[in-house]
Amino acid sequence: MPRLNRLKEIGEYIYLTFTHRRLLLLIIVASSVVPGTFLYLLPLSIRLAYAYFFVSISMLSFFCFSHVFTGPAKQIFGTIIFGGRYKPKVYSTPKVNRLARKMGIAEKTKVYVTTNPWIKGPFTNMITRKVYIPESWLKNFPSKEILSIISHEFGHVKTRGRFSFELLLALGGTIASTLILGFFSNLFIVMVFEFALMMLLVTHISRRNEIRADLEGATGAGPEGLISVFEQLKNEAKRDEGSETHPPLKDRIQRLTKLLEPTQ
Amino acid sequence: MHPARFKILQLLRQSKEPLFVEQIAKAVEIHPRMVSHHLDVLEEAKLVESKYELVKVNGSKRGVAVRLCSVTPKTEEVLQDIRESAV
Repeated sequence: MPRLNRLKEIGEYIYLTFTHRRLLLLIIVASSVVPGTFLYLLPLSIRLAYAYFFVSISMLSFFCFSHVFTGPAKQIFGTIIFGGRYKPKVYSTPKVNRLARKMGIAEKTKVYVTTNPWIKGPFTNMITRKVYIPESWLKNFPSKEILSIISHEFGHVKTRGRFSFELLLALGGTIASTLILGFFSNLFIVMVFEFALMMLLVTHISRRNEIRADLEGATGAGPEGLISVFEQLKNEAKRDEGSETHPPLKDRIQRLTKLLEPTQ
Repeated sequence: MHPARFKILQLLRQSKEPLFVEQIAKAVEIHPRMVSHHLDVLEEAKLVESKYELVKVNGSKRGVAVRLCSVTPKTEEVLQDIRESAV
């Protein structure tokens, strides 16, 4: 499809790094609150200039954010829609069971190996407590490192209560602030403001949650395996700046290497 | 192959006598716990053999139990393969 390719090319051309994307969101939030609330008190010329600025910046952000959540979204919808076709096999070895017992994970948690092409990397369904690992990863990594990857996913299962609580707080905060802004402002401004604020909060929470899962996993299978996996992924990756859901690998390796030193 | 594992294999191949974890860690400048992990992985792939022996380190009287590692014949084949694929 040529049209889609063209869109992809545009996305590559105006690719912004994570820090720039976050700056853009901050500008949107700030500019929608400060002139947005008393917009109708201003003269028409300034109102028009502001509208031009705001529409262009929100369009730019639409292009920049069109690709950031596609990876996780593809995995989630790929498993929901096409999950039945590729029947996942249960991956239960004595080591995995011992790890689950050591980390205090409920027996309901199960690890599955899938051949589903929509699943690019290991991920956890936090509602059903199912951990999926693509079969290609089992071939590429030795069993000890697979165990530490599973320990990271178990960390997600263990901290899912805190994660969902934080997400609920973010949702509540966004809705409350949108209601307050909605009394004073334009519908379009409020809509963009809501998405931008939500994005800022959710990215921050998700990144924190990944770090928490790393540390939680290191208590189960030790930090060595995760460090080694991250180093290999870092070598393969094009750019290591992290994404909306995951912090950069360099940062995660740094946090885990601190755990290698014996505690006093 | 992980660059650290490649370094460890090269070191073990060049040294005539088997080495233990602390020695390898000092030579390749990697944390001993990471070296131990890499050795586990290499042993699983049957590129490295290891056995536990008593060795006198730093003038200790009774000796310390250490894990002495050496390469297997399979290592040469694998490294040869890597070299050929690089060319």
